[in-house]
Formats: sequence, structure tokens, C-alpha cells
Amino acid sequence: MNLPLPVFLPSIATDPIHQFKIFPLIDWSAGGYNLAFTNSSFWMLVSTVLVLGFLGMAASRASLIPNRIQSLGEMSYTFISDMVRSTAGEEGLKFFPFVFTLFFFILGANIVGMFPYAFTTTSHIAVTGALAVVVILIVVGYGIYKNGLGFFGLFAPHGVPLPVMFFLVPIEIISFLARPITLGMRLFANMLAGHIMLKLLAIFVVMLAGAGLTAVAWVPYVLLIPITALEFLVAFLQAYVFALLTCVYLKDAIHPHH
Amino acid sequence: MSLLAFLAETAAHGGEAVKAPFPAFDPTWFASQLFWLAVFFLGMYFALSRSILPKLEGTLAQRANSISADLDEAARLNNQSVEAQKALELRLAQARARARETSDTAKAAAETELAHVTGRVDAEMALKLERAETRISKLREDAMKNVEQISLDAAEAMIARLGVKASRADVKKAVSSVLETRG
Repeated sequence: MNLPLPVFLPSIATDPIHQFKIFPLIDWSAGGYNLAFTNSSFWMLVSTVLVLGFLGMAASRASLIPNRIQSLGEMSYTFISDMVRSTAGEEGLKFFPFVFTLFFFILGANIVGMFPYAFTTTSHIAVTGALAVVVILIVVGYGIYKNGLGFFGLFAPHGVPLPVMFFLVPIEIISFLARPITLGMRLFANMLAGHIMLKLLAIFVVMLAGAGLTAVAWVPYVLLIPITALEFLVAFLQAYVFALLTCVYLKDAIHPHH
Repeated sequence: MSLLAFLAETAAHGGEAVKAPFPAFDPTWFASQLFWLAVFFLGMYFALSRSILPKLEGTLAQRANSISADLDEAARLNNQSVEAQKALELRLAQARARARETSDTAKAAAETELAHVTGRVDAEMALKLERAETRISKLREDAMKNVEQISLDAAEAMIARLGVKASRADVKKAVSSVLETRG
């Protein structure tokens, strides 16, 4: 385990946490920070290249009658643009490239992470938390740029009697402050828990078979199949939820008085 | 691997894990993670927003345009065909009216002609009939005169044979009365 293992080669690990370990591939530090190119960076590069490759291929064939990949690319486009339009309104389409990138960045990382020996970059709070913070900073920044101090009307809903305001405003502020935490935590926890579960079940299979209980080892082995399918669904769903919540928050920035 | 060996190994790992923080919360790599996240996320953002998304949007817009243009063209052609059909029906109605008119005129002319010819033929026939009748009656009269003469001659001859004396005038009178009664 102390050997510098190539990222794509199997590492024999019976530890469900081992898959989340980061190790440097190319050491590099700048400005006193350790900015090494790690296995996490490598798999982020892989998912970025795959996503851009897929979408680039889809966009390069600008045919009036699309082939499969172009059709998929166009479906992705309309899927996200419809989501932005229906959630954040026409004005929200300004943020369409950002939401589209968020969705595909997360989806790519989640899906790439589903392959054995790959690293799930979205299973780290640093990554998901940073994405969530960027979303909230954009929401707050645009909200204040667009509405000035009116943006803070978000915390004081209209038509609420004054005594209730004393309770409501702190609650609204707390719920707003919780947004980046829940947004980042949801994705991180889902990815982490899913991968631990898969790994645990896989370890059970090896363990039971190793102990000579082959008949019993079939149970987690068969169970792995639907759970793997479920994890693919979760990979998509969490990317969707992240993008959708981003749109919901952007709507607050555009129209704070709702 | 036996169960015991496995448990031993996990125990060893567990021991390690106490020392090292949980990987997802290990701050050693935070700076690297954030840096490379920024690099790849911004890379993807610029590639998508500058090149890929405008291309996809262009294709979609082009398709929407061409579909609406095709629909407009179809509607225009449809209108054209409806108009053409209306024009055709109008011309058909006109042609039918003209045909009826022509046939009516022709029929009227034919009737006039027929009436004219019939009249002339009738007149000729009447004339011929009249002439024929005149000739017939004259012939008949002549014939009747001859009959009277023959009857008179026969009567005189029969009377002479019978030896009865009678004036020629009486015989003539008797004969003509008999002829008159018999027609």
C-alpha cells in the first residue's frame, strides 16, 4: 500500500474506506500550497474529458436530422434548459451554461466513480462543498447585484404579521445559511454511503467465500446487482438534484419576494 | 484468505484509520482538490459555454426554423391548392353555363327550323291534296256522267226490248232519280 500504485491498476483493499484515499501522482506545490496532481485530479480529468468528448461529438455534427449521439446531446441541452426555464424563469437562462456545467461535471464524476478502481471525486466534501459554496456565492452576488438590498427581502416574506416576523426571519436566515451545507453534504454523503455499501457487500462476498461459506456468499453477491443499478440511478439523481436546487436558489436571487 | 486473516487485516487497517483522518475529511489534499476542481470545472465551463452549447443551440434553432419554414411553405401550398380548386370549380361552372346556353340556342334554332320546314311541307301537301281532290272529283263527275249515259243507253235498250214506249226525257228522269237514290 505504500507503493505508488498506478490509479488504474487494481489495489487489493479489504477496507471500505480505502477507495476514498487520495495519493499524489505528480508532486507539485505552489505558493506554499500542496497542489499535487492526485488520483482524484486524474479521475476528475477523465470525467471532464469524457463529458467534453461526448458533448463535443454531439455538437460537432450539426445535422438537421441528428444521429444518436447528436440526439443525446440535444436532449441534454433541452433537458437542462427546460429545467432552468421552468424553475428559475426566462431570466434564469443567463445561468444556463453554469447549471449545465454543474450537472454534467457532477454526473460525469459520479458515473466515472461507478467503475471499479476509479476514484469518485464527488465523494469528498472539499469538492462538493466547494461547488455548493460557488452556487451560493453566485446566488448572493447576483441577488444583491440585481435587487440591491431588496435581496434581503428574501428573509422577510410579505404579508406576515410583525410578531411572527421575529420568529420567521431568524428561521429564514438559518435555512438560507444551511443551504450550502445541505447542498454539498447531500451529494457527498450519497456518493460516500453508496460506495461504502457496494464495497462492504463486495468484501462480504470475498470474506464468506474465503471462509468456505460459498452458499451464503451468493446472498451479498446477488444483492450487489440491484444495488449497483441503484447507485447508477443515485449518480444521475444527485447530479439532477444539485442542478435543480441551484435553479431554485437562482430563482430566489432573481425574484426574492416570493 | 481465511476469515481469521481477514479479520486480522481489517483490525490492522482499523488501527491505521485511528491515526490517519477519514480520507474525505483529510485536509492534506484540500488545496490540491480545490485547485484541480477549479481547473477542470472552469475548463469544462468555458468549453461548454464558448463552443459546445452555442453549437447545440444553433442546431436546435436551425431545426426549429426549418420546421416552421416548412410548415409555412406547406400552409402556403395548401392555400394555393385550395385557391386553384376554387378557380377550377368556377371555370367548370362557367363552362357548364356556356354549354347549356349553346345547347339551348341550338335547340331553339332547330325547333324554329323544324317548324318552318314542317309548315312548308304541310302547305305543299295541302296544295297537292287539294289538287288531287279536285282532280278526283272531276274524274268522278266525268265517271258519273258516263254512268248516267251508259244507264240511259241500257235502260232504253231494255225498254226497247220490252216493247214499251217511253220518251227519252222520261227515261232520263227515271234513271237519274234511281242513280241519285243509290248515290
